[in-house]
Amino acid sequence: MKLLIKTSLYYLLFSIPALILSGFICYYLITKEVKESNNELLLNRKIQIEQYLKNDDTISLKFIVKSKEAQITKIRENVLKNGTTTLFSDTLILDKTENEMAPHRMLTAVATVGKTNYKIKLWRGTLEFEELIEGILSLLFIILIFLFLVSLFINFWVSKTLWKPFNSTVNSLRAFRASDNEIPDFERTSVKEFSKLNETLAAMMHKMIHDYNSQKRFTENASHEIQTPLAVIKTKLDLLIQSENLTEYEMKLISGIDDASSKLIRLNQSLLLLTKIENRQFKTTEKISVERVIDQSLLLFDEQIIARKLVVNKNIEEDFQIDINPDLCLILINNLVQNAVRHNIEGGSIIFFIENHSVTIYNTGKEESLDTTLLFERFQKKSTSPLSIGLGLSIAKEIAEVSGLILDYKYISGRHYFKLTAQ
Amino acid sequence: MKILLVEDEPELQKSIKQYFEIESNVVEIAVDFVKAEQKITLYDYDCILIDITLPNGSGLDLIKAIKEKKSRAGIIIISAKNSLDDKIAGLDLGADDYLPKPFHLSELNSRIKALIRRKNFDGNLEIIVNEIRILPVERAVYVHNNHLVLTSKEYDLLLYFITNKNRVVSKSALVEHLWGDNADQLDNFDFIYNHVKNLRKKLLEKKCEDYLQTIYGIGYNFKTLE
Repeated sequence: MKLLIKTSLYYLLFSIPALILSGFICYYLITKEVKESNNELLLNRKIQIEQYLKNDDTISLKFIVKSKEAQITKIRENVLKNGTTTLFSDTLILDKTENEMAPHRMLTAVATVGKTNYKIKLWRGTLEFEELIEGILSLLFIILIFLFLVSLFINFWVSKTLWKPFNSTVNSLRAFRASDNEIPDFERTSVKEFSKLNETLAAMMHKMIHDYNSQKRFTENASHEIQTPLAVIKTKLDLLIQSENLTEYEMKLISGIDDASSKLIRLNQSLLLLTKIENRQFKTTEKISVERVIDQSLLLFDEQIIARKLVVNKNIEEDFQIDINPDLCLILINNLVQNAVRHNIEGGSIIFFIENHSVTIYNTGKEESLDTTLLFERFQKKSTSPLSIGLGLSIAKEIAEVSGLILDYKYISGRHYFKLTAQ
Repeated sequence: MKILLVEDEPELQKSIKQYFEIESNVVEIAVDFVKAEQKITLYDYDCILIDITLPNGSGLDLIKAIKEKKSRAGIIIISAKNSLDDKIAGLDLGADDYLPKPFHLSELNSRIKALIRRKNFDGNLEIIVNEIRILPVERAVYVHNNHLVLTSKEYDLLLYFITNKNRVVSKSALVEHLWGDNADQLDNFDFIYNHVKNLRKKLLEKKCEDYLQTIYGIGYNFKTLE
């Protein structure tokens, strides 16, 4: 949920009790004001009636009584039952026009003119309770809707203008890669928090690029430094084997050195490859057909497959196309095929199953599951083959990871299977 | 053949010089950019081997200098970097080949000879060793003028042996030559043995003399001299 929507939801949530409270206050204030103004009006009218009584103005009195809002009776006592001369009360009186009982404010007073005591009853229609509540509620509802519309508008406007620099920062962060060697131009902003964020990010990216470059330089230098002595060893061996009269013992020694130095060379190259993949130095990608790469790879292992009498089967439901660096893709498939060939049994089988979003390689082999926790770890070779350096599957896993693929291993009833799935 | 080696590692200089001078080649050495540039301006070479990372300069700039001189020399980059960017940049500048270190001397020899053939004879050349005649463009082999049918790998092997004739070629060099970047499938050692066995059998069937000597545990020598 967007931050803005969340804040305005909270805003609306808290405005509901506030509105209810203000409804009560409104009700209280309105009824109080109405009561007071009615009281005053009734008192004024009472004074007027007293005047008429004093002046014996029967015409005006008759007129008042006719208005059905007053009643004048003679009484004996000069006070009311509760001992006062004026009393305000709320009462229900039949409203003839609407033909229902309506709330009224009533003033009962005693007026003494000469020796005669008059009881004056005056009333006046007041606000109906339901109508008042209804009015207040609909008012509150209108305010609520209005607030909602306003907050929607603020949302829209704020995200359009105020949050724009933030969004553009997020976009440049998403596109950022240390290997690109470029710090994005952040949008200038007058908002202090955002400009602080941009400054911090720029400093961080600067550091990342610096670290990346120094690591890359280190890798390259290490490679150079190691390859050169290896090249010397290799060429010296090439010269050494030219000598005539080598004894069988010496030849064995040379052969041992040759094998070890070849292994060292491969090890160095594999580690370099891993570092390059981790550093994402293989950037260019192409749409690659997995089926074609598998064919290419099978050609490479053709001789081993024939020699070990392996049966290779390809089931293609639909060709699997991936966006991947072509060199990495070939290395990935080669390593998986090599794995399936090398750890197979004489006369065993390799089955490829290619689907729309995945490729599975089944192979026969040792009749037990491989240790899945160590399988893709470096130098965790299980095979006793002196040729394996234990990096093939780690490289495959690493390539899969940087290329947005998932590499899984499973062992089901005598078959090992490696599955590559598009994310 | 006159070769200029631009390389700063003394032991590598010695190895290459020693290996190539057997066949009456002249190998001159330049240890840095400045010396290499001087030699290029003063002399003509058939082939120039250039290391990319040199003291006081880049091998890539040296290639530019050679091309500006309109030299006909073939250029092979020998680099420890094995970086795709360098390879592309070098070939774009006019280098003919790229051989990452570490390499076998027999492989370097094979690359140089292939390069010289392409340059000097436009590939229209026959390689003749006694009764064996090879036409590289057609990848065809004749023994006593009889066509010899070989598989692709057998042909590559024969050409490699003949290029490096009278030298011991190690098994690992053969594997690397035949399988290139994928040579790390070292299970291939046994297959080399099979290919060589088949090649020898086919040659003998055509009444070819048995030139191939097996050097125990190490490799082979295609010996045409006594």
